[in-house]
Amino acid sequence: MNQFSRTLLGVLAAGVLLPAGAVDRPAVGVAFDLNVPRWQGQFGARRDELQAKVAAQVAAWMSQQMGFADFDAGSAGPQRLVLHLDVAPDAGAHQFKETQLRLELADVAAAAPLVWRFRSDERYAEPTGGVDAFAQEVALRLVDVDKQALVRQVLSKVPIASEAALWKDPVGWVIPFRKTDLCMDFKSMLRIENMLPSGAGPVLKEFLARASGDFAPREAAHAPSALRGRLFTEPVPAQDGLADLGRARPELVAVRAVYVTEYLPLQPCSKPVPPERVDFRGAPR
Amino acid sequence: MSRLATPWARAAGALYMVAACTAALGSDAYDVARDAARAAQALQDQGRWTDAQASLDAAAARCGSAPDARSCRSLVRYSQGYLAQREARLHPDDAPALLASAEDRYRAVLAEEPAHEATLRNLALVYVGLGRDEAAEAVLRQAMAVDAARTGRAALQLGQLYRDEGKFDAALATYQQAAAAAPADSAPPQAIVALYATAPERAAELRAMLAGWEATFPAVVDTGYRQILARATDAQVRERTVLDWVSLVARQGWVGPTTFAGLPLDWPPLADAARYVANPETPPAYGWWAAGPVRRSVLAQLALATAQAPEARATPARALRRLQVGMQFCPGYEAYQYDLQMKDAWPTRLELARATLALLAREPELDPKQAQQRWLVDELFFGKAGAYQSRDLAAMQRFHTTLGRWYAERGEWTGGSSTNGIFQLEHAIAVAGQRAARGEPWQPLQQEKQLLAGGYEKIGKPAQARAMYLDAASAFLDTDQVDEALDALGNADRIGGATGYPSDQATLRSLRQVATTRQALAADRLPPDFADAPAQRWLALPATTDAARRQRFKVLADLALRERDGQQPQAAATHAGAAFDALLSLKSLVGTADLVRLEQVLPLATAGADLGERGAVQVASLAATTGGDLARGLYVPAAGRPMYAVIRGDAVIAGRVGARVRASAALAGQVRRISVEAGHLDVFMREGSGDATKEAARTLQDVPGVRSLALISG
Repeated sequence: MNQFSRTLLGVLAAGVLLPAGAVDRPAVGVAFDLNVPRWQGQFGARRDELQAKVAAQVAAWMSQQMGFADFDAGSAGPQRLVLHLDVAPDAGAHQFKETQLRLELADVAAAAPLVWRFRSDERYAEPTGGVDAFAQEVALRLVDVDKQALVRQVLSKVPIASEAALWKDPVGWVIPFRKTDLCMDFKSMLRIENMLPSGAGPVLKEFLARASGDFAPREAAHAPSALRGRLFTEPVPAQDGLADLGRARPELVAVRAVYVTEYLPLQPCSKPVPPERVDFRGAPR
Repeated sequence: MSRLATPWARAAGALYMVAACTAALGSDAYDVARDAARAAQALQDQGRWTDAQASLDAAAARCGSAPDARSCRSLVRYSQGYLAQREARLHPDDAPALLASAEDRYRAVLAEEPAHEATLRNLALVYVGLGRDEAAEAVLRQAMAVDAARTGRAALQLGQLYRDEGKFDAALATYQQAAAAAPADSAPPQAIVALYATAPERAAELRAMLAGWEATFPAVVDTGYRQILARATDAQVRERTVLDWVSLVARQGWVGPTTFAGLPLDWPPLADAARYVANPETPPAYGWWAAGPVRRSVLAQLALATAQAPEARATPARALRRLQVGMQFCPGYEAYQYDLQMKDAWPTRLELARATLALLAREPELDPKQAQQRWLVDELFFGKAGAYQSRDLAAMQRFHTTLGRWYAERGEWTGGSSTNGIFQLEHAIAVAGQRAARGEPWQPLQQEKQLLAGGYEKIGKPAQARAMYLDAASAFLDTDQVDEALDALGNADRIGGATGYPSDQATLRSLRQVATTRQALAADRLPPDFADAPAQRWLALPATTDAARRQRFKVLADLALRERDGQQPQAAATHAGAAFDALLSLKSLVGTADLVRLEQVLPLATAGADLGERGAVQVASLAATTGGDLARGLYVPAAGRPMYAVIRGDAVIAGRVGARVRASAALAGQVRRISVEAGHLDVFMREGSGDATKEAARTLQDVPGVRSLALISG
């Protein structure tokens, strides 16, 4: 197959698969679960208020740090991220117990829980300071989460898209976001699930791919304008099934889901400042 | 309008310039423009671009004759530019025309607001979209010059432009300017790390920078180290970096199943470390890691981290085994003390011993005869000298606390010179004091003080017991544990009465006054005029100790918040201002409860002030500030590192201005609003307030931090 026809097939596939307008980032609901009996007792009827407040703070922090999803404490989407505040499992009957934070996606099996210390046993008996103060204390501990593991162990289970366009020259995928949509820099890693044709019918093949550029093919006239500027990702070399992908006719390959496995934030994200964040009152300077 | 430079204003005394400004600020047109901007965005979201434009055109027509026409016009034009820019992203085929339209709108804003930073930044993005990089660079340079809120965003944007153009050094210098403007922001370091990804041959430079950011931005540093390990071409730099990185992830507790993912595991140092983490209950085959105590000490940090991993914590015997394996290959204390390479090494052996001791104390069945614990205590004593030698105050305090609590739990208050609870707790408290003296946040240590007071009592030292109960009471008040404070005061009183050590009666009385006042305040039992009662004179007197200042801040803040909730805005503002004054004079806040007080009191103390986009209070893990910002230590029980509340310089000015305005009878009701931006103070007076305007000039000309003062009437 010559280069032109390969490109054309890629375009055909892309034209079918990707919408012209903006695609929403996945919505992830956020919840907080206060699971330390001593503090549950202290907050009593205000426990729900505390949990809602912390959830909102966690959602705001996650949105700031992880631009590839839309975190919202009130979201009822299919994905729900839960931050638990637990007593450490080895605290036993000891009077002063270490407490820990544990982050997980509800109803999704993770490789391992993402856990980090909240208060040491020495500071267990310190007062909480009330709803606002305790919510602040939890929020301040977010800075010590292992962000690499947060993506690899937890957020990599959240699909960011259920479509992408296969491109054949070079082999790669155009995903339905620009890098500023996700605040995602090149070299971020994605996992892409494809249904590939085979002698036994379509089979599932997963590939790891690195974001490597803004899609801007030389033969621009043959590429739909909706694709231009979207993130182009290229498969990591030497993966099982890569040769099959290279041989497959693009229109027969269906991308099922796209996940982020390694996130490099784009700094600055370079989105224009919206009007609600400016103020023109005051003396001109 | 004219503006007074403060030095000149000071010299000129009552000289002032009143700007004849027709603005009736806060009037309706601006709010209508803001609503229109919001509605237009909603229309655009629905794909109704033409309707969105029409709604903004209609809003623009309403600005024409309004009193706040200029600000209204600017907001509408800005919104038009923003929406056109957004539309261009959605419709790439129409982008050139849409971006040209956005440029016109932003240029129109800048004609009236030449120093509006957000407009300049948005315009730069328009130019980037049009491929006019030189024009983008020019407006970003302007934006950097007017970055009043010191966000560093314009510099970041310019750095990215240079990066995209392949101008590494220019990008780096600009990112560094962004970092200097906003030292608590992780975005500039992140951008620098991403920049170095394009130059793996310069990894040594990056490594040097990363070391300085470890305490503040550990996640960014993690990314940077991983980048060097994955891509650096210089073998020596990689070898040094693997030590830095392993030490970082171990100390942060970031050791788990995905720790080594994405790293080149065909490289022996990483392969061996990964193998060890996968099987931490077996002593590692040393390989590269065996060469020298530094490498072994770093690898032993991994042992500590794996012992604290969730699967180990669920099975204490497993955690113990992991710690013991770490102790086996960790260098001995003598290496930390006498080997020059180990001079600045993290005290891994001490931490392993400390963790083991804590585990055994928690799990008595692992050490039924306490033989291991005794051995470890001896070991800790032998090595504690290392922490002292390196003057690592945080480590010193940790060890004294661990040992103090261990002895206290066993009731071992005396014996030997240092092998007892009294000695260790005294030193834990003393070292915490040294840390506070060198600028770290004040730690109340109320539990340690209470424990120590009890120890003094047990060994028959009533004078020390009484004094320590008073210290504990003060610390309990710091942590808002008023009932516990009253209990500690009761103990101090009891001991004084029984043994005739009445020397601290004045302290006892004043602490009791504070405690009862706070108790009544919390229960809402104080009469409205309580602050004027003779017993509460301490609220008005200049406090001589930081502890007294902290109490004054808490009481006045709580009072202001109670008045706010009780719909008494004047009284709330007055007490909030007084609380803010108290805050300016103290060094540390205690607990996030104080942080919440500060965050809630500040808007009351600065009511009627425009402070721009950036939040008035930020929490940072470094005390470094820029441009008049004020850092106060912040003790947070859960924090693993010192924290600081950083109050923006403009908010401090606004608070001081508010206090002076409230204190002046002549100014009462005459100041409509103030605006502070990078130290430039605008005071908007009511129309016809001639005498009050003179008074404002006299009263406000020397507010600390103010760079210029403009009085605007109308």
